[in-house]
Amino acid sequence: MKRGDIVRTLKGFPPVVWMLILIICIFSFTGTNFYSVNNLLNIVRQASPYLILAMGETLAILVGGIDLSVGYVMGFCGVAVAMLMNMGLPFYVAILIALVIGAFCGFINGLFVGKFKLPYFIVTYGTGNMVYGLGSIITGGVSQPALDRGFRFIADGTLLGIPVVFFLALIVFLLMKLLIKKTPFGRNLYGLGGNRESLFLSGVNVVKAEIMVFTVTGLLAAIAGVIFAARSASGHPGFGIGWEFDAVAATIIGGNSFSEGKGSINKTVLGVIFIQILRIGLNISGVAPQAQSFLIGFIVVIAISIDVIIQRRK
Amino acid sequence: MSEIIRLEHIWKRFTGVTALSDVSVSFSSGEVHALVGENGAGKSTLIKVLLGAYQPTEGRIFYEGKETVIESPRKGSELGIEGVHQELMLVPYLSVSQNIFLNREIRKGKIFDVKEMNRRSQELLHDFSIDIDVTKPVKQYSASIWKMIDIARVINQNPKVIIFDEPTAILSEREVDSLFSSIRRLKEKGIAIIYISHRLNEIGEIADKVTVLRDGHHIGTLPASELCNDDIVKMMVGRDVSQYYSRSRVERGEELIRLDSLELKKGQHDISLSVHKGEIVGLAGLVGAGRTEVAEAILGINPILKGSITYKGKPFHPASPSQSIKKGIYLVPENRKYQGLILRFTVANNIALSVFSRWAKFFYKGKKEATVAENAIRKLSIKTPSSKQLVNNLSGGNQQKVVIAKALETSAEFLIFDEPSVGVDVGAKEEIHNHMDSFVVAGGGILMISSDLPEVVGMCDRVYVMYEGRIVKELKGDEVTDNNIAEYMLGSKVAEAGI
Amino acid sequence: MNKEKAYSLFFEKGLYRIMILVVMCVLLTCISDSFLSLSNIMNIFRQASILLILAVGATGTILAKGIDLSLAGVMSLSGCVCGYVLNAGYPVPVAILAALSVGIGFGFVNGFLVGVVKIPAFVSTYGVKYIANGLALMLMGSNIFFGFPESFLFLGVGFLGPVPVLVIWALIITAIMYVFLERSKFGHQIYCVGANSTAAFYSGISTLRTYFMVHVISSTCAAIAGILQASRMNAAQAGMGESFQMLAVASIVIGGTSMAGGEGNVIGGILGALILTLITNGMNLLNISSQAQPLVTGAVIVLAVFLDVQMKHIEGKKAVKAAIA
Repeated sequence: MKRGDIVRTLKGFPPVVWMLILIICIFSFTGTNFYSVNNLLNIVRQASPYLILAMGETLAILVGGIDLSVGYVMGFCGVAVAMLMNMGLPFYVAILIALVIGAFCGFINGLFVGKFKLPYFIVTYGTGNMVYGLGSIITGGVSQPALDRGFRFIADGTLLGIPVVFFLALIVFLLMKLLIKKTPFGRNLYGLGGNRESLFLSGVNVVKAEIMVFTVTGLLAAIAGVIFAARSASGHPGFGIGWEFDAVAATIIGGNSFSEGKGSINKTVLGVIFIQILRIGLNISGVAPQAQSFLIGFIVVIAISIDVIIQRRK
Repeated sequence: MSEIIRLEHIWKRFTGVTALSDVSVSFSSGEVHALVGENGAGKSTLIKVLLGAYQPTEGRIFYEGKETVIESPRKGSELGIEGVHQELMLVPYLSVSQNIFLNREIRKGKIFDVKEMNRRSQELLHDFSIDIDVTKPVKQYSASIWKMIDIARVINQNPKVIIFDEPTAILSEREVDSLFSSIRRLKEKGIAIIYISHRLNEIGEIADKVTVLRDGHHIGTLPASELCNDDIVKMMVGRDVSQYYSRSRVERGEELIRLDSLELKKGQHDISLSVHKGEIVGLAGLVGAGRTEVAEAILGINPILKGSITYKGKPFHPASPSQSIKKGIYLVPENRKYQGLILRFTVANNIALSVFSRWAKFFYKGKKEATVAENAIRKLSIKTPSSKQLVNNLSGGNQQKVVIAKALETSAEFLIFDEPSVGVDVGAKEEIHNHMDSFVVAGGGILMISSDLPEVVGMCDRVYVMYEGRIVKELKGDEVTDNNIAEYMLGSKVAEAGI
Repeated sequence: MNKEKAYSLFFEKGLYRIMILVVMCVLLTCISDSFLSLSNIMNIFRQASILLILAVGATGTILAKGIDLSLAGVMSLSGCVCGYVLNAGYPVPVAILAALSVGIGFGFVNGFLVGVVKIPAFVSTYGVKYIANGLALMLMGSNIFFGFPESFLFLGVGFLGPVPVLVIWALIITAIMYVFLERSKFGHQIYCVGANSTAAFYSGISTLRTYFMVHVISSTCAAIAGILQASRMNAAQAGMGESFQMLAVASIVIGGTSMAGGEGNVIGGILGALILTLITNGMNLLNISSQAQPLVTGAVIVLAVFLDVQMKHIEGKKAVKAAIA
């Protein structure tokens, strides 16, 4: 009886858990110091902004869409926060404005896809490039320093020996959980992805609801951008290029689906941890940077394939 | 019984179509008012007007005596008008209780009181004698439970008017009984009930009044007690349709296909059946008994785990629809809008869908497609302005005829019909049955899956009954009766006989 | 009646794109003296050629309700393989063959992921892009290979009479793709699968073969583009195709091919590619910084999709009005 329960629980694990165990095993052989405190803190530091970004992407995917602009929005908000501080604004004001900018970008995306019913994929592709172009024009393509000490604390600081970014990610995660579980936002999120018609007929303004979802996605991208700018002590419009793929990949590898609003941000956490450990593991295993790009693409495609096949079997 | 809603001279026009013309009707509290009509008669439009999803082009609505504009579903809901829709109106990955309280959540301050909603949901479902874990996503449960959850959701809002749009289509007999008893309870509470169904027998059982619509016109409203089924059909169709099924006498020919103890996915095994030339064989059973899976296995859509198929005397291993179709097998699928047709394409494109690749090695023959389609449209009397019309704009019955035309173009010898007359109006239904009849007269064989028992009894020479993934009985000749089929498909005889 | 026909031609068939093109040409002629110079026009055609090959090649993937986000990666890798093989001293045909087989191979990989594993195309091809770029990096490092043989350079910079060879390639491939997508039964199958893959599958069209077909075509065209780009630049390096990815997808979408699948045409894609090339060219002529380019291209994409959706919306409204009147 009990053994059956255990087997069932094990079978119920999403495939990403098994893949995670697999790569951890591999890296503990290939990488020296894989288990060192330093390395773990490193994983946490790098995973935090990425998790925040990926949670935003998950929202867009759960409503049946996608947001390819998050990487560019992230880069742009990093630029914004750096430039605002260089103009002499205190760092918290700069951060606040950057977050508003990110939310506004998301709002625009939401307006296009929600109100004007334009295809998600191509519109966010377009707006992303617009934001990138705008950032390039403002900065002239030059990276903007962000050296304010208070600002750098976000990335470098620790509380009780644990990086501040970890707490930031945790707070954002818990707030998102609350928002999804116990407020209309979550109901709308799953309703938009699962059955838009019933949501509409029960009296929800679906256009507003969708704009809201994309606004939050933009806001989360902005938070990720601010953290990233703090870490690299600078802002550059191209910093986030490629991150949107990692965000989509983490969402899918975690086991979220593009249809019916199936999934949750818990799954995204697993996906993020997978990709982050993969990146850092390859690094400390001494794989050449040229080969890393290939290996990550390859492993991510394989991981998504495994997930898709197993989900279909169920 | 007092009047609650009155519609006066309602018109609704869409792109090129008048869906409702000058409809005036009133509904009263504490009364079950049935709304009947063929597909495309305007029932759905009328409901949507009542619910506030559509605005009438002309006309006035009086609610509780006052002239009212129901400008949105939200407004309708505020007034106390709720609908149980034909489609399943639930969000698959929200919990049962969150679905029941969709947009009517109980709140503690700003946030939802999940515990209280769970408790209330449990109670509500208990009234329908359904005990399920209300914290789980509804996706886990079967379609009929979804329907009951949906009904519970509507009742939970304490509406004054409830509109049921074909609620029983996917329910088992027992569930229909429990639905009817709750409808009677609602009626006693003084709630106005508007009930739409294609099943005329149900209307006789539950309705107090019947309103008939045809082509958007209001044909009449009469007390149910004064009407028999034949009258209703006559009013719906506007002419006499024999409610009976006519089959030509055909000599049973050689064996066309034989399935030997097939095993499909888990729980579907012991599936053996045969179809001969010149006969229509029924495959009866409840929704979810595994009938569609059998059809899809023959087409090569679902894998076959064990067992064998013999087609025209030779072993046959279905690999894909394209191969099965080349061999002369064709499926007229259950979901014609999704599986049968490309709605955005023209009638001609669709009719040629399975054959255009055969016409040439490389080029696509647009002209030949048009000629072939014109002929098929004439032969099957498909009602369409031209072969260039988009299939989306045709009525359900004519869409089904396009699917049949598509099948006949492949010169198939063995056709499988999965629910051929669902969503098809009475007139077209008869024509479709005639096409099936002439197909077997010409020497073909048909396997027909249907939940419509009179259709099965009227059309089939033999019937196999499926119950929980197995074929439990073959009924021949005089054994083919409503009662026999129903008993086997509900499992009552199965338990008795210990099969 | 005539008015109606003109209306339909203008909006439904997307003739308004030609108008946009003409207006742009007139504007640029007015603003810049050098626009109408022979050398600039040749330049525009040459620039448009590579983009055109990529765009008509990838049109099939979008018609089949997918997309190819790996085409720039495959283009880079093929160009690099071509350059690598040439530098190693092998004859030109061998290099071209090697590059083409890279393209075909990646087409099969994409087809497999989309058709067999059934990963949404924009996820799988995005992943494949990283694989292709990664392989190019492993092959080349940060090196630039150059100094290719004359016979190879002829493909990209040569002239046949007054006409650049590059333009001839583009015309040939566009013509082939036009016939294939819009006149052949295979092309019609792609439209069917894009519009409703389930119904197409139930009706006996091999969806699997269709997915393989569109991806092999797209990747092969990307490989051709890579070869021609290497020849034209007389150089090969990792990432050489990157800037074309967005432009190619944008050309197709601006040309009116719908992301919803089963709707669109090759001619639209040609117009889209020309419009985008003109924008780039105009910005160069007007000395607008290249940093503004993503902004303008992004805005054009959004505007094009917006217009397309609104046009259809207006059509619908007009039809309603006509029905009521």
